[in-house]
Amino acid sequence: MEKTLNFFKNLDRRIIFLFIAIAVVVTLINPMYLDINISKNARTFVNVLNGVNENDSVIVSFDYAASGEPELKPMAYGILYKLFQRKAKVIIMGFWDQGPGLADKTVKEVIAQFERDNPDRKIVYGKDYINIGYKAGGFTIIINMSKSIKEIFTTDNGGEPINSFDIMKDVNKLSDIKMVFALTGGNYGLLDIWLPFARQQYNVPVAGGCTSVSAPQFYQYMNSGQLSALLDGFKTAAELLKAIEYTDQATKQTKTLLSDEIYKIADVQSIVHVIIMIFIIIANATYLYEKKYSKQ
Amino acid sequence: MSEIIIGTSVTSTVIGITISALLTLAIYSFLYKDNVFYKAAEYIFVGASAGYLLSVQYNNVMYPNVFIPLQRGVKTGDASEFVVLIPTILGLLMLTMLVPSLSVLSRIPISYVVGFGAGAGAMAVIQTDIVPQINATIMPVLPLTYANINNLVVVIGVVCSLIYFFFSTEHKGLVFGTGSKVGIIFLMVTFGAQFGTTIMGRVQLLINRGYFLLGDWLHLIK
Repeated sequence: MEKTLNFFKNLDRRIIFLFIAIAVVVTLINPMYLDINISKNARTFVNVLNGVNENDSVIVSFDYAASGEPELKPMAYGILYKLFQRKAKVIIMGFWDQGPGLADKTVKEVIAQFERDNPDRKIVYGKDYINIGYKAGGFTIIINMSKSIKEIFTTDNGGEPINSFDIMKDVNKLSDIKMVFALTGGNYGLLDIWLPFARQQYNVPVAGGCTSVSAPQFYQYMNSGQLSALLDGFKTAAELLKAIEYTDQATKQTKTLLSDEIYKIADVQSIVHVIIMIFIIIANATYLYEKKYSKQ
Repeated sequence: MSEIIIGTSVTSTVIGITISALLTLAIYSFLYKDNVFYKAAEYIFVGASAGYLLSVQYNNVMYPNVFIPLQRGVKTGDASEFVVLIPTILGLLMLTMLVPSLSVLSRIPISYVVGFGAGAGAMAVIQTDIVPQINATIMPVLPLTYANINNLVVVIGVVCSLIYFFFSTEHKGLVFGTGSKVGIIFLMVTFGAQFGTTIMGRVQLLINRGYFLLGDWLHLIK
């Protein structure tokens, strides 16, 4: 017994890494397609998206860098798709320098699928959506946006004058925005800027998405009603995609946005978590056994 | 001609993916032990990030907010355009930190930034974290319905966690002794949740890289 105890006590961390690496490779190549249940948080988020009406101007803020993309891109995908379904006017911006660039990539993919699923609709830049780019300055930008958005964002991300776009005709101040959807890779964005300033000082409803790492900091704002809705990490992002339906043009069947890729990734998450739990149980059992053994 | 362009684009994509894959493997090689490939990838990342950030800050901040107004001012002779020199000088004074004999001057822009941040931020903290959060904790606990039991857990959690951090009295007796012990349980549950979500986030990054290596690079995912 002592031999086993010592083995687990001195287990090389690289063995754990190896187990996890094997689990990732095997599960990605041989997915199981485990079921994904839609949680209350994801349902609330869809309800908030359904509350956006035709021609409502909304901001989607891409406040993340490449490291946040694995968790936040699926959220952005679902949000943009649903907003196009709702015929909202989507204004994309970012408080993180990489954000608007990542947004361009995501929005292209969303438009490709949306136009395939809705052959009668064409998403036009400057009419249905616009990318007004990155601005340094954090909350001072929100304070200035409450006075005039066009004075802060004089051009779009490509350098074209902001006044030349139809979508910005009726958007002058922050109060003209129906809703803000902020996707944040850390605190700088949803927590430090949109929530305290746009939501609390200028009463613009804010819904958000965050990475799993920072999720515990956000739950309290859901509880207090300050956040209209929250997606906390990849799991709820997958649930959001499952909750958004569309009609497949080839088969005329109702499908969800949950793609094969997301299913596979969710599978790996589940398997890796099981492995980590097993190691945590082994570690705790070893600790408790040793404690008892050393007393004797 | 188009075939050549498409061919070049495909080749550059393959080269790009291969470089990304090798850099990813170099970074993950640290999990085995520190090595020269990890170091090289780390330095490339730091250097590229710094260069990229500098160019972004120049194009998004300095060029439109400093150089363009100054150029306009010189062209039109409009004195109001030269107001940007004030924040520019304040910004440059920050750099005096690097010169010990002049570093005292850096206190001027720092005091401005801290003063402005504290002024604007104080109200935001009160409106976001203090009043609404206290409000959200004042909730009915009776009669004992399912929702009210949930409320009761929140109220007990908040009160006991606060007792744990109340150091003016010894943690003994029913209120402070038991209260702080219950507070520890709530804190441990919170830390556990944070640990769990951190693992979830990090695992997601690993899976994303795994998907890239096996799918985009090796084409093993069907």
